[in-house]
Amino acid sequence: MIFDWNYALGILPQFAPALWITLQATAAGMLLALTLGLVLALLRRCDVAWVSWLTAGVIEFVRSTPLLVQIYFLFYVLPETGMRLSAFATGTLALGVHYAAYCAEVYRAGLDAVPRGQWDAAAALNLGPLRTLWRIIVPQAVARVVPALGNYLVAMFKDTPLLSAITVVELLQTAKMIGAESFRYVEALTLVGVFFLLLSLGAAALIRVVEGRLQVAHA
Amino acid sequence: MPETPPPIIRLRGLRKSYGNVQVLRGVDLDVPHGQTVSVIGPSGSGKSTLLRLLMLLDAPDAGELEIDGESPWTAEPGGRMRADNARLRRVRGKVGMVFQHFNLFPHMNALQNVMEAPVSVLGLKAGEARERALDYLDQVGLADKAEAMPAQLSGGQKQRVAIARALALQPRIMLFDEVTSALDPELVGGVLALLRGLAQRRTITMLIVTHHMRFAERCADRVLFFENGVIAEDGPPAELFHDGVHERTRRFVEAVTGD
Amino acid sequence: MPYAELAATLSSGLLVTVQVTAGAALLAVVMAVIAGLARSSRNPLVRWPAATYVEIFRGTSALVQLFWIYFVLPRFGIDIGAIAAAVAALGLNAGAYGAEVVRGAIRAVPQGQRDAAVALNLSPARTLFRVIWPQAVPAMLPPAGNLAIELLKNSALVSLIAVSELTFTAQLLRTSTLQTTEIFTLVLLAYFALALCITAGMRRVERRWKIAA
Repeated sequence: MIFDWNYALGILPQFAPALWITLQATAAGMLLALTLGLVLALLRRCDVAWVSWLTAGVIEFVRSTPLLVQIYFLFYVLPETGMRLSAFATGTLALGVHYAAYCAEVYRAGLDAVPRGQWDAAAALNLGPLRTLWRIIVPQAVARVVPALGNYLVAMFKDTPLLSAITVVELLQTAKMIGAESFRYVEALTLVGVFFLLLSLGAAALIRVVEGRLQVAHA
Repeated sequence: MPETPPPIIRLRGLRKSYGNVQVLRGVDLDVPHGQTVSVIGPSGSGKSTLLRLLMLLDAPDAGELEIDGESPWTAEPGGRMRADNARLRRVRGKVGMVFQHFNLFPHMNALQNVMEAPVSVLGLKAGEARERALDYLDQVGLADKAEAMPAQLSGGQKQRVAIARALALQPRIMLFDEVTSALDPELVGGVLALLRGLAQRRTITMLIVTHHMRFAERCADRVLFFENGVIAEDGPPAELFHDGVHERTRRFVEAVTGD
Repeated sequence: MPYAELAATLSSGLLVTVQVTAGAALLAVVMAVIAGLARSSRNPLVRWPAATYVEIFRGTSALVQLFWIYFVLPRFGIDIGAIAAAVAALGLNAGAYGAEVVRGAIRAVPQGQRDAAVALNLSPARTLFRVIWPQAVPAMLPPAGNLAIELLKNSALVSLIAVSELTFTAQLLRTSTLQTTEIFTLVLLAYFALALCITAGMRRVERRWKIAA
């Protein structure tokens, strides 16, 4: 038999620390992406034309170039500038920056989707800018933004194997190590695939539930 | 001769373009406090733009705009109009606006829509604001719909909530921008009756952009006929509609009413 | 090494990147159309295999898929080599996302069009190819353009199974010259330029379909 179930069960525990690393990288990366994305989105809306254009260019550039190359760039170039980060921190930083560009577009689309009349009405009622954003605009943008951000969270999770390229011992790297040791790639790599499938499907189902809730709340 | 008080709205040479389109081409206007003014004219003639400028939603390109003796805009050296934020908000506090498409906040119920500004702008306590909001909802005949979400209300009800929302800030000037044109015909009457009642109190200066000529004729003290971005004719409704001198208004009224 | 020389070396990798991306895109289009149509079918025997394909390739990581095809399939007797594995993995992955685009666009064609076709007594195949498909294609093009750029970006992954495309060439150059910053800046710019080409190309295609529609 090509796929050995007993062997697969035997190597299963070795994946536990890797799974933990993967989840940590996803969580930290997403936190960075959400915050940095908000900064980018606000700069993109800036009244000063060159700031807005420059931000748009940066967003476009980050979105159009491979995450793997960005990871290499940070991993090899940051130390040359004197910034010494661990491979994990570098990889997480790359994930965060890459997905910040996507989050910025999500925020922007969410804000743009709120009709202009809502801004007018808030101004006519003399609400201040922060109050307008926080009480009127953001609550209406959330229903659109949260599902999209959820999808990027899953996408980022699925991109964590790229960190194996800079020696972070996440799920895929663990599978490679097991494979290199025992020359049995079938079980290890298949298990990794199954992990991702289960977690992604679970996350996708969760997003649908949240999405449904948000839509009900706004009906 | 009676002493004339200074006008609450004073416009001189007001101009506004959007892109390449000149919408207002020099508007002069004085409105004394308490007057009800109907604004009529073909679409695209600049009526709604005038209201947006009076609400300070957009900056004029040129000219003077004074509300209650205060002028929020100052021309910069480059020619662009700039407002000091504090002054902008102080002047806005004197003006309320009701929109063609209501623009109710869809995530708040009727009561919350009306309460939002009294709490955050006037700094009322939640209890006070609630009382005031219920009072205004009652005035527009919707006390029983306080908990309803906008999506659950008919067009006419939405528009009445929007009117209560604007009134709750107790502005000196109310602007109504084609408030009945998004409503089904059978719902128009209720909203117009509400406006008539407000006009009769004479405590608020009202500018009403409308397509209802009979309403303009009966309820307004004064009618402005807009054409090509200027006030083409201006006078009491009886004169404008019937004296035979105001040719352009008469022709427009005939065209829209089909008489 | 001067910039010109670096660029010259990298350009051989660039060519492979373009070839792998183009090959994978071709496979992706075929898979997307087949799986997208199959998922729109009313027959569960047609729908289910397509759904399984789409969920597996969208639910797992592209890099894991690549490794699986390159390292695991040979153990089942399917050894297709690095380049073919690269094209297969990238193409199947993008095809799964593309299938969802195709399905969504087909679903977005108003029911009235189907009703009209039934009223005219058109056959199901004719309804699909003459009525539904031409109306669905314009809606597919903008997301397809985004997927093409994602595919281009994913092509960097195949450097990890030693296909000598742009990123792999960059890594080789880095170890031999140590001009890390210059090399990776050039590489990022090259990918950006390719992405801009894809965007421009897709614009032209979109315009053509709009005029035809």
